[in-house]
Amino acid sequence: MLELLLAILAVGFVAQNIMRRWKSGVSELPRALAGAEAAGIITKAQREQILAHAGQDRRVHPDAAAWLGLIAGLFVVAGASLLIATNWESIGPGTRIAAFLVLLVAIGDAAIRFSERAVGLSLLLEMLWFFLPLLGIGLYAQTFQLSGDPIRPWLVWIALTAALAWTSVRPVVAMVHTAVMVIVLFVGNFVLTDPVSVVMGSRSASAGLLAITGDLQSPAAWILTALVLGAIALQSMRLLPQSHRHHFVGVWAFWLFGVLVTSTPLQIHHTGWIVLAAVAIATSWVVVLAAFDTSLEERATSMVVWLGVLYAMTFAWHLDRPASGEVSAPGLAIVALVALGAIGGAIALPARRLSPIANWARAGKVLLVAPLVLALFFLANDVRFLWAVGIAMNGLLMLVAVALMWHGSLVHDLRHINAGVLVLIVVLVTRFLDVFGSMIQSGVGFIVAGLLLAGLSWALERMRRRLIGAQKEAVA
Amino acid sequence: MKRWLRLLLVVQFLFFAGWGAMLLRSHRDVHVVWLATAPVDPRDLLSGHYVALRYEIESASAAKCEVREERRPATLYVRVEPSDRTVQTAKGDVPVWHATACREDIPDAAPGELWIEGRPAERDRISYGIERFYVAETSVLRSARSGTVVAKVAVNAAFQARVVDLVPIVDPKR
Repeated sequence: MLELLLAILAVGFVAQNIMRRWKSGVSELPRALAGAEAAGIITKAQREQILAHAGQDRRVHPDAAAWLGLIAGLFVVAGASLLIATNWESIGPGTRIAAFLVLLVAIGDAAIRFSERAVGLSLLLEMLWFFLPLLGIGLYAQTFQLSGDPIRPWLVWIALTAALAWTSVRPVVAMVHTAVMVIVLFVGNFVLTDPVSVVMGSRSASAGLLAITGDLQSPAAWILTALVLGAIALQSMRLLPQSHRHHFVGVWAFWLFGVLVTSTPLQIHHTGWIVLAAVAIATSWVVVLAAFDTSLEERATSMVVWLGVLYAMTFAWHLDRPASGEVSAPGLAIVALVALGAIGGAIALPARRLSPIANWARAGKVLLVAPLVLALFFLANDVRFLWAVGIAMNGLLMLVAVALMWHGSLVHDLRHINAGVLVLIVVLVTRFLDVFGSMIQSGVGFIVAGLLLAGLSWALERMRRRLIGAQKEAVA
Repeated sequence: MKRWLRLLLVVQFLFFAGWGAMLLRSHRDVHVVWLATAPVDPRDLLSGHYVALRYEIESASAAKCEVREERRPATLYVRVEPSDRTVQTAKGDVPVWHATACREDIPDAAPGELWIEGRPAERDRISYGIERFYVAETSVLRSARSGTVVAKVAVNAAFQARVVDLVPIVDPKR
């Protein structure tokens, strides 16, 4: 025990020296920037960007003595770690708790002291402080043999570190904290305790305070889930960088779809209603982000999901029976509401949000509403309707691709052209494999299929270059 | 800003200090029972440095709990008593306790009567929060498996159970 205490003292001494050395060489940049922000010289966003830039560019050039000190410190820390590991069983619960509290105060205090000084170091300390409560919960669970609710420790960690996310001068802690909330929400809501049993056909459920799946749900779980969803939205809007503030809409969209397809009171089993729900939710996501005039990064995710849903519907011509299954009344009401909201939202969307050209904005609205109307045919009790929807969705997706390319060349947006070409390639290659897939079984068929595919890619690339060339000429 | 961060640090310190103090005291000088463990599905063992435990008393029907699907209580209280069965361990013969009664409201325990708090889990199971026993890397219990050990469980006045030891059964067939 004595050697352990000596080792901890040695670590403290070396750490204090390294800190002092580092402290003397740190810049006053964050403090100066905070002053500039207070004086109205720069904005908060600019201060965050400069701090992040300074953090990336910061180089520390310790001298030889500092390097020796650092290596010596590492040796002592490694030795102390070994001593702790080998003596772990003989360290009593009281000592463990005391050591953890000392570590928590030391790291927390260091993070506070350096929060407005050394950018690189303070970020490291903040992240250490952020994860330390989780380490503490794990330590207590191990020491006192605590097992039970699998989600509660994570929720406690989120609650204990929320203030850190809100007070940090950099958005990194807030980003990690928000990501943790999203993961905990989805794991707590939807991950089953016994996934194997689901495959085997028996009943299973999620577990813990956020269990809304299976038989064990309680009103408290729904209230807590609503609070976490609200916290994710609030934190995203207030703390995340400007171009990522609306990702929470996607989190909500995925969560709603999860609630509709997993074993909750809102569950729908009918594949037709599930398809309609997917299209309605994806369209709503696109419409909401367009309404808020959000960043390209945010809208790109929703567009990819929307196009993915449309692409999935092109496979409907492979179905051999009409959609069937039970639908809960609340689930049905929610899908109907979201679908109506998506249609209404798309129609009411200000034209400028979709295109600066009025006719193209109208065309955009039609393309947003059309998949929803087509998805209604999935509810028909005749498989021929599904085949018709499959064929129509192929046409619609190609129309979307051409529209993207055309619109891109008109408004001089290269990203639209590339996205359109990509969509066209994916649809054409998929249908090519659908139609000519059987030819690939013979050697000659393989060659013919390869040549056809090469011709297709050549034609598409030629078209893409021509559109980009036309756009450059128009700009010149 | 620093003031708020210091306040946060104080809150975290008080939380962990208070929780630690409570954990240090909550199961001191309380009743101890011995519970037989049941074999557990091996996939639980993939989770690392703990022994996954299942208990004979965790079966709701064995504990005589009538849990209805449409109205599951948040908490259950299961009364445990020593059974006629004993198991031979390296620490001598120990009596195995079994479940004899179950109720949904907080029991008014008579002297000598022991109740354990649990909550309904999936498929007729009751979870008592004692389903894991963490073991150090050097511990001989690292290779222990549920069904080949008995658990020494401390139960405090708030009916909360905590595993304080795992003892291998010398002759599991007995």
